[in-house]
Amino acid sequence: MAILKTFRRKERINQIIFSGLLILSVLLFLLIIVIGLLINRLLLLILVPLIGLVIYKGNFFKSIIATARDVEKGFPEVNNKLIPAVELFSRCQTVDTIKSSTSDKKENYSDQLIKAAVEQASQKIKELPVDKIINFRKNKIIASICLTLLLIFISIKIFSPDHFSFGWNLIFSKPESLITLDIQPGSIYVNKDSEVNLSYSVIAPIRGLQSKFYAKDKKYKQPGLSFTTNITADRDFTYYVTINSRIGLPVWKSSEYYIKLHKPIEITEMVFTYHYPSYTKLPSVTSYSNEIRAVTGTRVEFSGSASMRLDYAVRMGKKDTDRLVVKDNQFKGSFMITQADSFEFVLSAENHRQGKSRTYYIKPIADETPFVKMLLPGRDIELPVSMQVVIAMYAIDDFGLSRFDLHYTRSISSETSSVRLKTVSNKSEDTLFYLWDLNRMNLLPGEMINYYGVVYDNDAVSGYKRGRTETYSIRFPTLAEIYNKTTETSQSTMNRLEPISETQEQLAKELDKISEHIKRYREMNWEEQSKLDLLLNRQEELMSDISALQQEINNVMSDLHSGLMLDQETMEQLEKISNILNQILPEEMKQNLEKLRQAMLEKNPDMAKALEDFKLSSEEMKQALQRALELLKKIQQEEQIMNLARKAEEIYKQQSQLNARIENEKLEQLVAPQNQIGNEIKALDNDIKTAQQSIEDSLVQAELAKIRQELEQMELDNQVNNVSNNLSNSNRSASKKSASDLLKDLAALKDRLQNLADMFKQNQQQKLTDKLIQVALDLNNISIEQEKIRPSQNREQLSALVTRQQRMSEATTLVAETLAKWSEQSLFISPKWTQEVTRAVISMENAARLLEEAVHMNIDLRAVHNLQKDASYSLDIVTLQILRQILLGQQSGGKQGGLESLLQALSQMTADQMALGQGMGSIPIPMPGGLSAEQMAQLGRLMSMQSQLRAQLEQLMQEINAGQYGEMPGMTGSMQGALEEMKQIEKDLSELNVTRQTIERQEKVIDRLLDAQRSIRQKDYSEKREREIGKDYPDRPVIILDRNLGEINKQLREELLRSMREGYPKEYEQMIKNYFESLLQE
Amino acid sequence: MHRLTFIFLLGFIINFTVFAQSNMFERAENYFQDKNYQEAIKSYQQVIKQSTNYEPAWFGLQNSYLKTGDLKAAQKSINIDLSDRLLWGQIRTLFYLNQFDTIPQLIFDLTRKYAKSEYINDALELGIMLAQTKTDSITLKKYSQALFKYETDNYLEAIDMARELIVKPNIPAEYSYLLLANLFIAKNEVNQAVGTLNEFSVKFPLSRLIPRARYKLGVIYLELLQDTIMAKDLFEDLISDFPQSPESYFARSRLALLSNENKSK
Repeated sequence: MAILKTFRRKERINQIIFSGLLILSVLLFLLIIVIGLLINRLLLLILVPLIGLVIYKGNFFKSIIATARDVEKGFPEVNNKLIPAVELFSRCQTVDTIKSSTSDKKENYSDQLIKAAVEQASQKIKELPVDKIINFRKNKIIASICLTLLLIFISIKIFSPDHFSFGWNLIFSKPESLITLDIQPGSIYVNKDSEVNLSYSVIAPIRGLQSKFYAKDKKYKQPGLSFTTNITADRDFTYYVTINSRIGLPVWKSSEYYIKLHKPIEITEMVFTYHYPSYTKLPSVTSYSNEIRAVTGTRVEFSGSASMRLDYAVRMGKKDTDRLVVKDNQFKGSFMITQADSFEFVLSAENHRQGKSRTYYIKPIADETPFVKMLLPGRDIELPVSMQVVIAMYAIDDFGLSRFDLHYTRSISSETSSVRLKTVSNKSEDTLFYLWDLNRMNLLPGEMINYYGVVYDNDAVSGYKRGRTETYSIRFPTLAEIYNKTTETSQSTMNRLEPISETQEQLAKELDKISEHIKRYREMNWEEQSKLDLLLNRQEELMSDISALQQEINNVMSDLHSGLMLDQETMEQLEKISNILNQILPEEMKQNLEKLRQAMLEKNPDMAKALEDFKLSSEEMKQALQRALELLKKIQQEEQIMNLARKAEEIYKQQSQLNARIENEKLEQLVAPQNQIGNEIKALDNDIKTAQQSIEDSLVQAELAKIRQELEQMELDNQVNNVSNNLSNSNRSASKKSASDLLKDLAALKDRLQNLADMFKQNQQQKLTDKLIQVALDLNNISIEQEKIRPSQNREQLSALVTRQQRMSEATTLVAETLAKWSEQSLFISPKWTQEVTRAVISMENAARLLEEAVHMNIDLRAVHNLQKDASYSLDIVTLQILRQILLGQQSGGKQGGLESLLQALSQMTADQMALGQGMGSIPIPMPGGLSAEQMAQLGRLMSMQSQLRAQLEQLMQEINAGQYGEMPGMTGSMQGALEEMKQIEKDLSELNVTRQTIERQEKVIDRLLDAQRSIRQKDYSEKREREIGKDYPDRPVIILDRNLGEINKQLREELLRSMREGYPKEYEQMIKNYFESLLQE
Repeated sequence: MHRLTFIFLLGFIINFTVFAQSNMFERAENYFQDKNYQEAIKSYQQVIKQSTNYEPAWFGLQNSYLKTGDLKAAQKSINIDLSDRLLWGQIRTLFYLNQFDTIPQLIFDLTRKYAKSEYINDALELGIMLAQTKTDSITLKKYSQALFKYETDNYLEAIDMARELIVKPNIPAEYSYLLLANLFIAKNEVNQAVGTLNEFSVKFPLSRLIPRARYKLGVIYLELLQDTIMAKDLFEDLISDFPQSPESYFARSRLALLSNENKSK
């Protein structure tokens, strides 16, 4: 083993020497290449993998077995002997170490056998020349190569020291220190498209080097070391130089230089901030656009950034130039929009460079003229009896409103007057309500006022712009026109009802004939059938005529309802007519007609029954028509008398106003009004004459005759002529005296006619009440007696009860007939009462019949008792309804219902509240520290007025809560809001703290009061129109309202108004309305 | 075992309470019959305390208050929603208290709630009378007091009051005659009643109540004085004088009955 180890050591030394020489040779070779050929020093890096490879392949750490294998390879005689021996020896060494272990003994060679094998191998190897197999020759070869290369390296150093030095420095130091480069013009800015001269020269320590020039990504090959060229600078570019060896390999590269083009001054950022005029209430807005669109008067602040540092900047418009504030590359300034314009920014930077911005345009937005619409009356009207007109205007503007005015012209003069209605602030939308009292204008009958509303916006900068409504007119009708309206309505209704009544009578007769025919022959021939068919068609026509008439009256009423201040008495009369018409068509008429038609079509055996039912309805309608005509006649007479009193009152008022004018005005101007009054007096005289002839009431006739006599004695015509003459002669004192005398007589006439009207009304009312009380007493008496007729089981007494029951039935029939007769004379005696009493009669007759039968046979007397109870019940119901009618009549002072009086109260209250609001207009807001005595007095009056109104409203609410006006759920709730506002106004007034809020509060009060009136009218109107033919109504699906509906509706309504201001042709207006209405419904 | 004891005790307590209550109510009724109204009021109140919706106790209490003349208590402390007779009692109380304006609404309530009540005719009668008279009329107030005295059995005072009223012609005066007749009948002074009704016919020949008074007169002769001949004459006169009145038909039925009776005899 020692021989083997020695062999191994020698072989390792030999290998190390070889590896060292090999690496050295390669190093020398590379140095010679790099220095000689001036190749990039990176080539030396090849050495690194070579060293690794040498170490890896060197096999410096061989095992003893590998060594033994090499030996076996070199000497075949020890083949397969040496390795086993080495292995056995190695194992034996291990066995010695671990003696106790036997488990590892795979092969159970004995120690002696192993020793013998090892000794045999040792013996063999000792005899062999093992050193011979070590390769010493390769070491010699590599040493020679290494020496040769060393010599070449040294010779380069000796024979070309500069080259060696340059090459050496290229490898181990910086090349810049060896090469001098002069390159022009270096990195510079040039103008676009200018010619740039680029040149360079290189000084290198050795010769034979080459240079290359690169510019604009293009290579300029140059064998020498200097170069010059011209290049057009059409864009930015870089350039540099490289040094190459003789064989063209790159040795060095210079830094990169740039040629950049000069750029113009640019605005990189521009911001405009619009500060709108304060009246617009708009917030400031930022814009980046070159179109500056804002309302005139807007101050525009701007700031911008340039692409470079600026020296100065100006804003150059068409007319003027502003120098701007400049800091670094920022500039800023401001201007006011007054008119359309355009401007540019001119910027100047260092080196006298200048730049212009793009053009900016100023486009002023015009402040729209306000839009105003007349809501009320909103059409040409006739002056109401109250001589007061509610004006309601809705106005809207884009930036805000300032005031509402009313302009009007009287037909008798061309002069236009105006009234300031309201001053507005902080509102771009407003609704105005104003009670225009025309009492003081001394209007003449037949005169007309043309008026329109004007609203101004709040544009204080470029002037208040105004919008105006259409022109409407108010005509002051003549007295005859005013008071004949209802008379005309009732007359025209009568004129139309009379032929209907006649036709209905004919139809009833024909129907009788057909009915008789059917009863006799049990069938109808073709001729009869055609007759009946024709008759039914005519009946339908009549029914639709009546419906049309009803509709016409309802339309007139609806028109009046939509107004605010309606003439109460006219309304009452119209309602009476409407009620009469509503009671003409029997409820079952339509159904019975349909049934009869159906039976005719199907040739139904029940046709006789259907015909009988229809006949009953037809008969009922005939009676109802007669009743309607009777009632209308009565209404007409009532109207005639009332109109006489109202006309006399009006004439008196006119004369009284004229007398007041005699004091101050030019007398000639009063002649025409005086003559007009004279005409009115003549007309009144004629009316009295007509009334005397047409009114049936003898008492009234006698009274009217007396009045006419008195009129003759008064000689009013002469008096009027006398006053007119005095006025024409400008004799003031004589005029005053004669006019005063005339006024006295007119006052007497007025009182006389008013007394007559009152007497007539009271008589009518008293007569009605007397009748009603008599009927109520009679019915209650019968009911009490009826209670006493109780059937007992004692059959003997039953016959006595029969008689009593029969008499009771007769007594009740008598009352029913009386009721039927009276119901034709008064609208307040309902035909339904007669029907109910007739029902009681039928129950009594049946009870009597049953009692009669009970005398002879055994009958359950409970049936009799039930019939008697039913009879009493019917009687009590009618008594109760009559009682209710009497009490209601007493409460509402003879009027039909309490609702009208409630409406009147509310209407008056609204008018008063409006007047109060107008009064507030004279108080300065905000209130100054010290008010004048006059202002204080005014404030006191307003406070007392508000306090009274509040008390009235409270009283009214209490009455509503007590059910005085019938059931009105939620009505007081809507008034409660008005009450709270009233209290607050009162407080503000008492604390001398009238503010804008106070004014707004009083507007709210008016709104709420008007709402309450609308609700009542709607309720009243819908209640009166309830009557219709009974039919089955299908269940309606539950409608779930959209949560946004209210909001959307509001928006749509605003859009509607806005679109209407666009000025579409008149004929499109309705279409636009319809379109928006349909949107609202969706 | 315990459960059975509990049920037994509970039953005993309930029985005892009901017994005690009915006993108390009986005692109250006895007090009322004995005209010991103060004690009756106490007893009724105790019953109501135990059973708040016991209508007969409320009715007894209302009547006791009326009898004692404590109209305020009768108006305010009664639960009138329990029955028609309590509501009618309230209407009467308000009438005695001269609160005439509130009465029509209660009459409407009575007819609406109890459509076939036996008190409806009385209530309507009162309503009709009020409809004919101004509610601030002094005579109406006096008439209400007279009626109250009648209800509280103070006949003498009632007669004096009614006599005061019939001096001047007015609606309460007309009704006072009928009241006076009723008062005399209640006092069993039938001839006085006849005299009163005759006087009424003479003094107020145009009154709406004349047919009623004359029919009443006939009935008095017939039923109280058993004078059929006189009754017959009176009924015949009524038929001839007021043929269109319901009373004439009532009279006819009476005459028919009289003739039947004569025939059967």
